[in-house]
Amino acid sequence: MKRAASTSDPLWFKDAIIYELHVRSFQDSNADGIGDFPGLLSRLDYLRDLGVTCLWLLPFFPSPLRDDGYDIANYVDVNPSYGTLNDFKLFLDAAHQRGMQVLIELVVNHTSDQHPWFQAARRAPSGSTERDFYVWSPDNQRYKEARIIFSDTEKSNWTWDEVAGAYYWHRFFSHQPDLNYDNPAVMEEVLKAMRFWLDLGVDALRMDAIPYIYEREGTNCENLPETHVAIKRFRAAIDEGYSNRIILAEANQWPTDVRPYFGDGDECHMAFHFPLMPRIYMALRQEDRMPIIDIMAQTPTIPDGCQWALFLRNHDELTLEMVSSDERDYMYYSYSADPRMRVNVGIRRRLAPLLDNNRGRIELLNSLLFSFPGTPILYYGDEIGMGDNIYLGDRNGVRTPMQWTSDRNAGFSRAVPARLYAPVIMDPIWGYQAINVEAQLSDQSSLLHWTCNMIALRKLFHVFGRGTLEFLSPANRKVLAYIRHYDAPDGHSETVLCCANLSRFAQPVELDLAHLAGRVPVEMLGYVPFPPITDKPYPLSLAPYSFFWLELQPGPEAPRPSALPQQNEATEIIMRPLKPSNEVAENPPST
Amino acid sequence: MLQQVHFALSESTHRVLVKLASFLPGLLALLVAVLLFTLIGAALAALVRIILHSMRFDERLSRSNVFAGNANIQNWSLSHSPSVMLARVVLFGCVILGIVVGISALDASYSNNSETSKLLLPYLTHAIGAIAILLAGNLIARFLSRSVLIGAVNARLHYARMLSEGVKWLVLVLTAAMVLDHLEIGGTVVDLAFGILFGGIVLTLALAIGLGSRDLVSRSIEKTAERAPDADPSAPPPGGEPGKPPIPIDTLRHF
Amino acid sequence: MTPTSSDVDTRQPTPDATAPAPEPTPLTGDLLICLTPLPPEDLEATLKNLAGAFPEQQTAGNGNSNILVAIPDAAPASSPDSVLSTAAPDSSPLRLLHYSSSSTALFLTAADYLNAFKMAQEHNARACILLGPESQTLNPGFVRDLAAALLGSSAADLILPHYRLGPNNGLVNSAILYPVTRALYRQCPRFPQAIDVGLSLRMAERLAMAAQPFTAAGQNDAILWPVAEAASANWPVAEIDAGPRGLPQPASTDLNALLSETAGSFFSDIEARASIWQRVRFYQPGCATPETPFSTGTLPDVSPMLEAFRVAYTNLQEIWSLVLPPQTLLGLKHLSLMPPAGFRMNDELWTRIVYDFILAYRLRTINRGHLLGALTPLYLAWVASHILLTGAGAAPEQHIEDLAATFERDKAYLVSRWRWPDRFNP
Repeated sequence: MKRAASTSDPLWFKDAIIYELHVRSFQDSNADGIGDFPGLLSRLDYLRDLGVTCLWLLPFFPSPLRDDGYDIANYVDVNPSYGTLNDFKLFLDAAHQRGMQVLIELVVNHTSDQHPWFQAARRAPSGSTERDFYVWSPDNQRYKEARIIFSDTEKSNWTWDEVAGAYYWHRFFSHQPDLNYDNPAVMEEVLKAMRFWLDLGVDALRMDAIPYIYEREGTNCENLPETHVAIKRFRAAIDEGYSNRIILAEANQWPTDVRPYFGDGDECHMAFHFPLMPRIYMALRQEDRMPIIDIMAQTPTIPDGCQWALFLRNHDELTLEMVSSDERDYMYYSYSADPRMRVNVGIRRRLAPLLDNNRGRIELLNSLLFSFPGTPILYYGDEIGMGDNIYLGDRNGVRTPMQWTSDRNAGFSRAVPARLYAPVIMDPIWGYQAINVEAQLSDQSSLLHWTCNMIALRKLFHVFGRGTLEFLSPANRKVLAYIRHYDAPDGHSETVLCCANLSRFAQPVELDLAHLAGRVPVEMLGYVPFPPITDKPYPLSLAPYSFFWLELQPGPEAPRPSALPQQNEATEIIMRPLKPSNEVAENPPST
Repeated sequence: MLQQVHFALSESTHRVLVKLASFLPGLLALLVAVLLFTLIGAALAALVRIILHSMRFDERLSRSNVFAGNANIQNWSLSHSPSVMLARVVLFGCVILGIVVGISALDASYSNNSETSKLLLPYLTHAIGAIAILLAGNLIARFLSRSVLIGAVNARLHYARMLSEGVKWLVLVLTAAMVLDHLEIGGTVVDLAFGILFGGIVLTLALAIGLGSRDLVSRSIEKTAERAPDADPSAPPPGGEPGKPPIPIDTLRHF
Repeated sequence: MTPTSSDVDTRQPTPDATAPAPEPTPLTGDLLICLTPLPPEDLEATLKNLAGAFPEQQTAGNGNSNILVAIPDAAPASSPDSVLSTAAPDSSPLRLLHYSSSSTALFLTAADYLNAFKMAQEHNARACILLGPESQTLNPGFVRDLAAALLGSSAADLILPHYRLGPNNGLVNSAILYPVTRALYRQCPRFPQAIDVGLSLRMAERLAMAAQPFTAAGQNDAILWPVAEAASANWPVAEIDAGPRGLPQPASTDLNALLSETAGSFFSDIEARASIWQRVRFYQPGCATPETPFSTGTLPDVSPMLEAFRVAYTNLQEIWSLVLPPQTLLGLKHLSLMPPAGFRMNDELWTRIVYDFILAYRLRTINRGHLLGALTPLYLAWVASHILLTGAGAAPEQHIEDLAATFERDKAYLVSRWRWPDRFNP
């Protein structure tokens, strides 16, 4: 019998609002300067009130933390800095009680070089099962076509190991050797780890770096057919033993290359839409919808039971791998004038600093995030417009402590400030004194309240998570207009017209909505009716960076033909009491 | 013995309390002096601002010969007009005067340790001077570095950036040496270190200019040769014969 | 510098030595022609040309047919009076005046305008013509036409010459002054900062008033912008064909300094007149469009300019990124990668560069001197591109006209960024 999930809806992920956070950065309960599970548990009410329905936790497993937890030393335990396994279980139960699902990482591609598997492999004789847990080679000439992903720090995908007397393969940092999926034992171990967490009640697994799990000579070692065989195996194991659990693939590829990761509905349930994200920023800066339209036109349809995961920012850099070189240069000029803001092939800044702390832009991009087809993912802190610290190394600038209050350490920890795992943001614009949850909760006009309201609005309608997408093509390219439509199984339908002004100036637009003539647009936030749609172009004026969500409601019903005899205007209906005909009513009714 | 202990304790307590008692009025005098002079300064600053505004000081200054010729001074992008700046100078001058008066009042009341304040006051002024030198040096370093960069780029010097960095560090090193000297820190060691560093930077720049400006010099010589009169005396002058249209020549005239 | 005018008319008979000397009567005339300081032989040539242009007195209506020629006081080897008497017949309307001037500037300066107005007012002239350096190379017919246009019944207040220069001359004007003036003020004179100019009395007065603050502050060599002044007053501007002209050599060969001075003055003037050029404007008729000679000679060597641009691209990125938006920076990056033979700066890119520099000048994004210094390599890149384009067969004037049209189309960009200087733009 399958183990039940915390939700009974198999398509819960389509309506979810995912909140990405790092346990280490969220809340510290024991004053050691590092966030932990008890601290996170204490903040669940905040997350529930925010309206998010699924929490994505960055890796919290035992790890030397040389890649912020993605270098895993033990798949089936919790890093002692964050608590115990029991703490995790308590947190998981508490999240479920509040109606939130939990998504955790399953780093399938590699482990830490401190993992017992690697320690055994490097000492095991060549050709043995233990040895073959990883990919070894006597030289570093194999798989030459594979690109180096962390180009800033790594010069090669091979690193020499003195103990093993051989090179080992790694697509990421040199301390993260890649697992060898050609060894069946690896798959068994990873499945064991997967089942461990699913048995505890975890609702979803994010398969990190899934495109890179296989290597073949003469290829770029990405998206190989064998990868999909492996994913099917994972999926089959989940479907066999568990209900309503999902896999989210992290495949930083072009949309057509991501499509296979959904399979025929027998592989991953969700996958990130990486190429869309930089194009949203590009469209905003260029004040032109075409980058978005282009990439969505290249996005293939996916099986009905699958879903794109959309995001504006995450724990990594704003990746510019899936853009052309001109587009990359443009993004660098536009969003990272200071070279320190760049890392690998991307920009390591948070949402608000990227948009120069302009509230209009932040709201506009969030409106796109919430209204585009897919499941939105919010990065922790972006709901209050947190800043970043580009002077911290690697991508740590966007992983600073959550800013809860204006008290010491931003309310994140009671530890001595020097003990924090990373300093809190302290400058006058982005510092915790200016930007924190407590202040924004007490300010009805804050970004936090706005985000709460938008999330609540989104959750009222299934169309955003489950509906179709149709772009309109108004002559004004600074306006992005699209229609979302959803026909529910119970017969009702939802149609929403979304209109966004990408420009910093007011814009007029005329929309061709003739096929929807007769409908009445109702602005969804204020529930204000707009003039009905006719077969003529529908004019709208949009303020700078503004957007409309207009629910297209059916027009007023035509009056039904009456069963009573027709009466002309002159005839009055006189209600008379039932009295003898020779008596007249005292107060004849007026006409 | 207990009595002696008691006596010693009470004696020392009395002494400390007396010192504190003598210190507190001085402290109060310091605060009063600062406050009073701040108020006076604010009033004077307002008066100065009104007078300068009625004299149209800003407009006269912007048209004056001194600043008109030095466009760079005019364009230092001061965020406030000269009259506001002068008013602020008056205000802060009074504040500083108040602090000085207050410190000397403190000194007068706290006569036991008059040496402290006598040492403190000049050092305080030196410290303020050092801060001013540091700020000025930084501003000048940035300004000069950018000026040199643009000038060198327009002279087509490939080592323009190095030259600009060199000038910046030259000024910064000089500033640092002046600050340390002003604070009387380090003494001759600082002078020596500065001399070595300064000389090193100057030598590096001289080598760089000498090696790298060969192109510039050769271009300059070529230009001079081009401007020499034509060998053929019968050739018409560049402007053509007086009164007749000029003969077109294939050279660039930007103006 | 207070002008003094000599009222000596060399044609008057010598007064009786026994009688007291009568008070000299100020000369009057319809038209005043002011000359800037010239070397003696050039002055002689100019006076001969003027004599040839105005051979006979012609009474026109109620006008005084004298034409007053004001020359600077610097004593030439041969007296201009004798030159004039030799060159011009007795019936010539030319009369000489002397005034003090030591201007050596390339363009007409504030002092020149102020002197001209004062003399025009003093001598009741209805109009004045200012002729700049190298005026001996001017076609006498142009001066005559200019005079006729000024004194005609439907005269414009400001008349500018349209010189027929080679494609490699007046490049700053072609690149910046003409397109920007045309776009902002909808005025079509091809040489808005001409070396010679014709002014009505009221135009002269207006320019004198504009010049006064500069001369009072000792900035006699300040540059004024007559077209902008005329546009501000909404007075008609016209242009007439001037034929070829010799261009004066600047005293300094430092292009950076010259460009900074000219562009700085121009940008300041634009900033001061924002409320004028941001109004909707319509073209005024009256512009001449003569054919410009298209030289098919050897093209100038553009490699120094390309080198200057590449050196600047390597070193000035940081400064340019403070002024220019990402799209323009991307365009410059493409430009830096172009091979020399195919080096082309498209008109849209140059237009945005000029407009963004005007904005940065106004906003004081960086020190203004530094800003203008950073413009020089970009200007040289444009020049190189222009030369290569014309070398490939494009008509130079057509290219300039296309460029001016691009400036006009993109004026909305300048206006919008002027009013909302937010730097989060394409």
